[in-house]
Amino acid sequence: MLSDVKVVLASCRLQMKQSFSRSMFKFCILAYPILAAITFYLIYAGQNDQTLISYVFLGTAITSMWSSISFSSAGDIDRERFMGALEVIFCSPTRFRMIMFGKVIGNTLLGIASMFISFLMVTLLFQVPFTLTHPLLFIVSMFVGIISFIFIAMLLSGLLAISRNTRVLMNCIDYPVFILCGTVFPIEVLPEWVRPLSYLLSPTYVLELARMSINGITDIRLFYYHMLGLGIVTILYLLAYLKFYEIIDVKARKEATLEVI
Amino acid sequence: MKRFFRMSSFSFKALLGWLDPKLYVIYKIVDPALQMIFYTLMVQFVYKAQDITPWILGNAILLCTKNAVFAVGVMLRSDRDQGTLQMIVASPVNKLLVFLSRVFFNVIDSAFTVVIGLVVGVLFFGLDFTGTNMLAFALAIAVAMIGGTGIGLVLGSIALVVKEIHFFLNVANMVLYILTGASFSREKLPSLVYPVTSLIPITRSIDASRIIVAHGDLASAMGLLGMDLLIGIVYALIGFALYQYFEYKARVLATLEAY
Repeated sequence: MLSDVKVVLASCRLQMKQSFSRSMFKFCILAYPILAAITFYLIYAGQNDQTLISYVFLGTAITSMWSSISFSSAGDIDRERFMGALEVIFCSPTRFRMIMFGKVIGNTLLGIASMFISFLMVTLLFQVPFTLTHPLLFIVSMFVGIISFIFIAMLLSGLLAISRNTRVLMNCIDYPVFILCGTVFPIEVLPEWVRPLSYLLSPTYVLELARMSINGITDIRLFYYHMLGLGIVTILYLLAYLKFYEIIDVKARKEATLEVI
Repeated sequence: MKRFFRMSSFSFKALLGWLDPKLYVIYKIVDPALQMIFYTLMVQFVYKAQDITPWILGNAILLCTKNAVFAVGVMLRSDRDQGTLQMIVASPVNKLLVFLSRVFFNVIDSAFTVVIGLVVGVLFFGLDFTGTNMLAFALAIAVAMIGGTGIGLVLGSIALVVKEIHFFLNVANMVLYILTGASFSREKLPSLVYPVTSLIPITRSIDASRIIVAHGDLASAMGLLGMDLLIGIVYALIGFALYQYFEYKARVLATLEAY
C-alpha cells in the first residue's frame, strides 16, 4: 500500500514537471482560462452577477479543468508510446494503472490551478464579486467533482489508448462534453432527447450542484439527487476504467502489440 | 499550372495526413459542427428573443480560422520537421508560387468547413437564406477564406521561429475569435483593443455576410469585401516577406534545421 502511494506521488511529480515542458499543456493551464474567460464574459456582458458567476466563472473553470485533466490524460499513453517509454512503464514491477493514476493526479492538480486562474480573471479583471449562498456545499461539490474527473480521465486514457487515432480523437472530445454538460448554458436549452446523455457525464452534475450552491437551493432533495447521480456515474467510470486497463493488459501480453495497440 | 495544382494537392494531403476518410469526417465535419453548436447555443441562451442570425453567420465564417491557424500555420514548421524545408529552400522554383500553391486547397477546404457551419445553422437554428443574393454571399465566404489564409501564412512564418508552437497557435486562434466579434458586438471590446479589430481581415467579411443575408445595402457589403480582400492579400505578402527574411537569416546563420 505504502509503495503504491510512493509510486503515485513519484509519477505525479514527474508528470507535473513533464507537463510544463509541453506547450499545449501550458496553453491549457495558463492561457486558456484567461482567453476563455474573456470570450465568455464578452458574450455574457450586461447580465447580472449571479449569471456571470454561474456561466462565465463556472463555465471557464470547468472547461479549463476538463481540458487540462482529460485532454492531457487522454494523450498520456500515446505520448509514452511515442517516446518509447510505454513498454518500460508497462513492464515495471508496479502496476501500470498505478503509474497512470499518478499521472492523472498530476494533471488534476494543475487543472485545479487553471480553475484558480479563471477565478482570478473573473473576480479581478471583470470585477464580478464572487458570492456563494452555500460555500460549504460548493466546496463539497467541487471536491467530489474533482474525484469524478480523475476517474473519467483514467477511463479516457484507457479508452483512447486502444485507438491509433488518439491525437485526433482527443482534440474532438471537448465540444461534445461542453455542449452535453451545459458548461456555459443550462442543459434545458438542449433538446429533450439529448439530455439523458448529459446525465451520463459527471461535469453535468458538478455544474448543477455548483450552480445550486451559488444561486441558493430551493429543493434540497434535488441537490441530494444530483450528488447521488454524481456518485453513481463516478463508480461506473471507476469500474469501466479497471475493465479497460485489464483489456489493455491482456491485449498487450497476448498479441505483443503494446507499441502498436 | 499543372505543377501548381499537383503541389497543392500533395501538400494538402501530406499536411494533415488525410489518408483516413474517417479522421477527415471527425476532424473537419463533426468537430466544426460541434463548435458551431456550442457557441450558437450559448448565444441563443444569452440573447434569448433577439434575432441571432448575425452571430450564427459570424460563428460559421469563423470556423475557417481552424484551417488558417492549425493547417496553414503549421505548414512550414511541418516541412522543417519532415526534412523537406531545405529542399524547398534549395530548389530553383519561384518561392512565391510554392508558397501560394501550398495554401490553395486550404482555401477550398476552409470554405467547405464554413458551409458545414452554415448547414448546422440552417438545420438546428433556423438560419434563413430566403431572398439572399447567394452569389454575393459566396463571394463573402471566399474573401473571408482568403483573409483567413493570409493570417495563416503570417502565423506559419512566425511559427518557424517560435519555440512554443502549440501555445502560440492556440492563443492566436482564441485571440482571432475575440477580435473578429463572431459571437458578440465588437463595441463591447475595450476602447484600446477595438481599433485592432479593423486590422483583422475576416472581420469585414463577417459584417458583409450579415448585410447580405439581412438584404441590406449590397454596395456597402461589396465595399467591405473589397477592403477585406486587400487586407487579406497584404497579410499573405507579409507572410511571404517574413518567410523570406527567416530563410535569409537561416542561410546566413546556418540554422535552417534548428528548433
